[in-house]
Amino acid sequence: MKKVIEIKNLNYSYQNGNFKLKDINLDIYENETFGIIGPNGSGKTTLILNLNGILIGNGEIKILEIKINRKNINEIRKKIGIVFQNPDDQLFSLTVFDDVAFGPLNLGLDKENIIDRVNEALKEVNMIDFINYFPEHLSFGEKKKISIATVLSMKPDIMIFDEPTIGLDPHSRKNLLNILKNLKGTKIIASHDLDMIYELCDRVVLINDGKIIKIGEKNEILLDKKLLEDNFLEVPLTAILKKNLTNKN
Amino acid sequence: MTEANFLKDKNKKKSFLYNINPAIKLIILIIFTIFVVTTKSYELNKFILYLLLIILLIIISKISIKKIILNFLNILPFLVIVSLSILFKKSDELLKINFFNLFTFYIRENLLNFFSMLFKSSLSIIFLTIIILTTEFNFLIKSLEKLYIPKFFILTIFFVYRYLFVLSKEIKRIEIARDSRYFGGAFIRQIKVYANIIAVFLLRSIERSERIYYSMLSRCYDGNIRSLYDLEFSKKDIIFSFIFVSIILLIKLI
Repeated sequence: MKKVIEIKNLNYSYQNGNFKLKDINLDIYENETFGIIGPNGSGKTTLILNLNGILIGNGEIKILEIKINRKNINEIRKKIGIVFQNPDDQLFSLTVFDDVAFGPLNLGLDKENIIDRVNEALKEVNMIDFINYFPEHLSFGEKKKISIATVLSMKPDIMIFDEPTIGLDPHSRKNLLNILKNLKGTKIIASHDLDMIYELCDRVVLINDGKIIKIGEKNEILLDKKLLEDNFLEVPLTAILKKNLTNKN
Repeated sequence: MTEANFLKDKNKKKSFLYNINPAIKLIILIIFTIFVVTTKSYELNKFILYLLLIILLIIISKISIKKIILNFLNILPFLVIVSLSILFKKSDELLKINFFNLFTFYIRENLLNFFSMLFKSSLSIIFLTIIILTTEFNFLIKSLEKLYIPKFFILTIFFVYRYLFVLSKEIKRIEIARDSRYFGGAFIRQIKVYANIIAVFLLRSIERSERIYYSMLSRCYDGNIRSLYDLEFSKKDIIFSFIFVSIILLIKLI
């Protein structure tokens, strides 16, 4: 399988020295759905922000075989899209259309192409009817879906979702899971919603205190009660149910 | 209204003034303000003519007068405060004013200057209100860019407008947190609490602006505001600006 992300010896610390990513080594493969799990403040978001050069640490990160450096950051950002945790941080325009068109506009596409991409992205998240709405007038779940469309319209090779289900009611969560399931390409999901991670991901990395604790297949990590509890997490209910059903059968 | 028709429909607006190029409207605003500000305090007839011109604009723009008055009333206290200092100027002669050759009256110089400053600023503010109410915000931003206003100011205006709602929600949340634990107390202590609220709000705003910037960067933002909306000048824009500038020139020359 082709590696789309290669991280070697990544170290990062904030200017105030409060938090550090320590010696991160990780490979992510084409078309896999990869989960990044860990408790609050474990470094999930910091790791994500390093992947498209918003934060630049020491070490080596290759995206689709291109090594990230300050000169090629814009090229990298065309290939890797991030859906941020809080949709209010992602939606800053006066209409849904403008927000979804923001990325394609920065890619320098022509007008017709931009309009097509906006329509396509909004259809993919079932929000086409909201195209001329003011984002502030939408519900949290709707804003979340528009946030996904803002990245989809850029057609990135890799999509990263930071805590996609946080703050959503069960109905909106279910909708969002369906959207994520149907998206094609490489997906990285950072969350401590382990039920979602269990449902969507193939492989998982557990990080805590800025360090990788374990990388492996989802069952290997998400069914390890001791490992999860030692890192302030819990075995997902869906994983327990599935395991019990399999044992019964 | 959905899909590709969105852009076309967005351009289709109600009144004549809506369809005038926003850059033209801004240039006219600047010209109008210069003319009004340079009008002498005792030229009351000219002020009346400028006011009539503004009323004409309100009529052709089809904006509700109530909306304009409400907007204006919000700003009026600031205009009064700014103009007040004139009342305390040392020289204060009694002036004889001729109004349209209809009648004459006497007024103190300071009082006349005070009212004229208030009137000048009010006219400019009402004109600005008309332009804001008849222009899509995106077009306004785009036209500021066309007029070579520094990017820093444009971005500041853009984000203040967009995040006014989000930040007001933030303030409400902080207020709720305070009210839920407030059982009365000394006035001085309350001042301290408000100071803390302002500090927390400032910190949260900084954090939020940082996150918004990250999300813009991740969508290939490079410091340039790009837009799909074309601001081309039409014949209508040229005719409108010619007529408008001619009228204010005529008023000036009377």
